[in-house]
Amino acid sequence: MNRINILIILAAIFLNFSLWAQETKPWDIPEDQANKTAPAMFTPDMAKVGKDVYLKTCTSCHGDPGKNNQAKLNPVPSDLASPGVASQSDGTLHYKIVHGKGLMPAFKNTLSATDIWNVIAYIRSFHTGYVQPEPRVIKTFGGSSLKLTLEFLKDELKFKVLAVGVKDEIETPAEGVELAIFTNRYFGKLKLGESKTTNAQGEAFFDVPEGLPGNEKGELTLQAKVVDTDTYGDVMASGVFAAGEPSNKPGLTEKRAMWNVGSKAPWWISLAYPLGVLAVIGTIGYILLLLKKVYSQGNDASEN
Amino acid sequence: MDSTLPVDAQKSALKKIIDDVARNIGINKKFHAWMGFLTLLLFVCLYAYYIQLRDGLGVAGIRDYVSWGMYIANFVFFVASSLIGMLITAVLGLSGVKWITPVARIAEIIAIGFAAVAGLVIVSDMGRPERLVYVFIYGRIQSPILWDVTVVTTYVLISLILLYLPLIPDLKILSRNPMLPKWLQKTYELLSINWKGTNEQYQLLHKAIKIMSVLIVPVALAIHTVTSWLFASTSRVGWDSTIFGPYFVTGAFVAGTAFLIIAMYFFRKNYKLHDYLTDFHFDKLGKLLVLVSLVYLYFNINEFLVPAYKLKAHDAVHLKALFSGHHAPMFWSVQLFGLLIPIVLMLFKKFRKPLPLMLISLFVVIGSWFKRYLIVVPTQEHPFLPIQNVPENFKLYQPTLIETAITVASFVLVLMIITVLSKAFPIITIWETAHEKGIHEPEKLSIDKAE
Repeated sequence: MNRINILIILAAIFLNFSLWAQETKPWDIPEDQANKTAPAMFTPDMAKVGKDVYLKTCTSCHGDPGKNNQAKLNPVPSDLASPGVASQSDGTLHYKIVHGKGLMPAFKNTLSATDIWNVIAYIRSFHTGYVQPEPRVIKTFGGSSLKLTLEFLKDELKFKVLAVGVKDEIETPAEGVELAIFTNRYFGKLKLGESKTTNAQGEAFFDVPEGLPGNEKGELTLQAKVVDTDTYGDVMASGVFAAGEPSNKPGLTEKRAMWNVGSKAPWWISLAYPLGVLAVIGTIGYILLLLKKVYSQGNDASEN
Repeated sequence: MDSTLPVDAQKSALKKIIDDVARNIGINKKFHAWMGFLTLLLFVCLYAYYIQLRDGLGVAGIRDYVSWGMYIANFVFFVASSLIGMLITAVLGLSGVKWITPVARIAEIIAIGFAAVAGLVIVSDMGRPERLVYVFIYGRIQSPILWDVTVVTTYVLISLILLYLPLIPDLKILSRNPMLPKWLQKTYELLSINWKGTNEQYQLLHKAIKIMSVLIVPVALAIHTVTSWLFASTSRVGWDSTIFGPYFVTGAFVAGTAFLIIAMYFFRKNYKLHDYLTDFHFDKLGKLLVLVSLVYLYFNINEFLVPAYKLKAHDAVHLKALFSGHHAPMFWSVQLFGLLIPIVLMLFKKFRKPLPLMLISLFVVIGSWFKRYLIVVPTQEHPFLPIQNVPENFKLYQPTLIETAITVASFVLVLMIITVLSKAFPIITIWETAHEKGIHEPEKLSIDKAE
């Protein structure tokens, strides 16, 4: 009787667990997202970069594509070379990587838009018979890739960013593209002002903040970036402009300092330490001298 | 002191002192058994060190976050215990305290034992001990680590000199004593550098001892202050304290005095020195221990009450672990059994008798050791940046059997040094004891006796 009870309880627990495992919600991917296509045709170079990203970010759970060596999780992650994955659209894969679900993390904040597409390019390289659909067309200018140029207008103290769409090697100004500019600082980047949207000429203008510290020549390293990377990809332009204040601060390791190398120690410590050691050695030397005197005194005493 | 003692009385009194002291010099059965035991233990522990050398520091419980564990705690304890030499010979000696005469040499031997092994303890905390020399080649003059190496080495040297100087007359007195083997007599004769006991020689010797006693004060204060700076020069919670120097030094006096009392008890019993290490000396040292413990208690109150009153965010985490967290049992045991209860007990005269005082000191020494552990380890368990994605044994430090064995080895070495020194040289100063008893020119009297 008791044994049967235990069996029933065990069975119930087991059933509960297996149900729990299957209870994961199905993916709910909006249609426009599933139909999304890559910003450009996949190339072997993209797949190669994608492989590096994949090894760093995906292998630990998904294993090597085609080797069926995924992590023993519940549910087991898909082998990304499997037909089940091959039959999914680019947009579906993109959405899954960006948003994640359950144990699959969302990578929208950890991977750049370009890298996500590179990873998809890498995954697709395992799918035989895969034909990539036409790269998506950006409505505003009918092309698929955007180009930025960054310029410093010295007289007006403004940065000008020009955005052009490229289609069949013909460039047309891209209107309505949101842009932001950044400058390099000690760690990471500093955003300058608010982001701006390009006008009909594809131009956006940013004020140069006053008193921005540059290098000793007053140069700043600037970067203009597209905000909506989802649509345009990681498009950016950068340049070095003499737009800041020249700042001539000595480097932190140039002067004598406690944190510097031994040869640049503060003078008082470079002095105090050897003097202290010398004082002790000198005193001990004097003691030895006294002992020598004790010895010779002993000789005198025995002569007497 | 009766200065008009007849020469015959002086002679017989001196003979008794010399016999009592010389009886314990040299090798006997007990020494063989005791050293044999220590050697055996040392070899077992050295095997543990061999494993650490072979497999790396991973065999110890120290990991990325708690990278200073039992070794460093033990190092701090050793440096602390070695300070007793300075306290007795210099602080009390220079202030003219008379009762230290039979105690001073024991204190100096303890100081040498602990200070000499302290350096080795640091080496045991190195994964690549052969790179020790890099400290000198690439060491930065601004680093407390370089200062520490410098002052500890200096302290060992000065302690050796301070052991040797007052030994000179004794070596002469004993150099013709038939109780000692011939080779030892010859060594003593050599080491006594022509000592005749003339007034000039005594003047020179007293001068030398005085100079070294003055010199050892700043050096001894420096070794433990610099050891405290190894911690206090960082901004880590629990170490970032301006009173760490005096806090360490006073704690050192507590540990050292307690260890001295234990050593005195064993020498008195095994070397049959009841006439020299009397109840009076234990009573005095008991009072000294109360004094230094009270000062240390005062620093403890400052060290814990002030941050606990303000309870800054990171301090709160640290103090909570000590007061009510998983370090609490050790913390409160150390404070109660290693400090508070001993202080209260030792206020009563009957607890300052040799045996009870020795037992109390045992608690104080054990408490002192664990106190160093509490200073070194808990701080590292809460760094300012959060600990993420690490195995469980990275978060909480757990000493392993191997590092415990290596730590035991360091204690064995200290005991060996103390044993050998106390067997090779007179443990009680003969000439100073003789002078105090009104025996003039013990050198001449002892030589007369031998002839």
